[in-house]
Amino acid sequence: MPEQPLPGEPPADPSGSDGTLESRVARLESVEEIRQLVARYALALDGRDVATLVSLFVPDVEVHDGRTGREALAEWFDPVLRPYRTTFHLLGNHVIDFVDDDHARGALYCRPEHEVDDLWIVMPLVYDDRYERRDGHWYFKSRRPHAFYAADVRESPLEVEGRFHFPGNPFMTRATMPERFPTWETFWA
Amino acid sequence: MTLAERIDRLDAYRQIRELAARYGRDLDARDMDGLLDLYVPEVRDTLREALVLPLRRVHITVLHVGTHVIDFQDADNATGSVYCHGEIQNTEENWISQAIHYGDRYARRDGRWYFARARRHELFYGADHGVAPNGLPLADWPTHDTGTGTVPMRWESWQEFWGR
Repeated sequence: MPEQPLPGEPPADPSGSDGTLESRVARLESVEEIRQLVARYALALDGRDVATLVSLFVPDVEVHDGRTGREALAEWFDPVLRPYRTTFHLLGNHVIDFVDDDHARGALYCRPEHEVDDLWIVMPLVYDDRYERRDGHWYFKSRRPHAFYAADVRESPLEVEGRFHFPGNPFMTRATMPERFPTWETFWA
Repeated sequence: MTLAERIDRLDAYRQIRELAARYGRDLDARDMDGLLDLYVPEVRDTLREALVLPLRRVHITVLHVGTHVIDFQDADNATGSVYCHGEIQNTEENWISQAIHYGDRYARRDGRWYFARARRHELFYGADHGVAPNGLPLADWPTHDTGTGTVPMRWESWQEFWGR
């Protein structure tokens, strides 16, 4: 999946394509379904329910290793979900911007905790999401987490190198937020 | 679904989401009448005592509700899973952190949604402030506010994943 900027510009399509009652109600339904989508992802991940997890993505999902499809995604998830035991994905702020009736982008804050051997790693992050509607239902087109930091509950994020202490994580390897917000760099320049 | 039924469903999502938020606020406020009012009338009498008891041994609580999955069985019945991060002053000295999962049933009566029964309260963990929850003895909540909980270990998908 290509690296894409976080949502920044105003929504292209704020309230439904043609402004009719039908399309306004449909837009509200889309928002609800997307909110359910991200909550189901958190529950499925914490429950290590890989079958449910991959069912939340479009059938032709592009996997991080270059392959395509839910089966490939399930194979990719397996080793990614094993380096830690208990996880707790507490979701918060969710910005949803519609591109059109069938495409939306999301910025979702999450404060996951991970049991990593004798460490308890907290990794506040923003998911950079793409959602797509297929046959009347919403799925993840892509999802990329970007961490503010990763640190044990007993550590200050400033004490750990690069604000990132998460041994053995094959997927998340560094803290890129808030520097990844284009406006962050502009502000300090 | 007709347009009216679709709007009805959207209203149901809103009300059910609010139930979880109101529960958090009313519990933190110790508004027991407000709290009981969130439940279907027939369970309120039996619930009052069960709700009050665990609150007797804690002082300040801060319930931060997050992740919420809602599944509808029909127009009047739904189930849900709610995550909550709780901060709790459980004695004069102890400030603890809990990761909580609520297993809910919701029911609609005369257009209003309620909790249909006591919420199934399970811990991921409870731990003193600044203490890592790794390997703590079982909390057996409500016996103890700190310790290892019952989820995710109880979930079938969890057992299946680690068994393969």
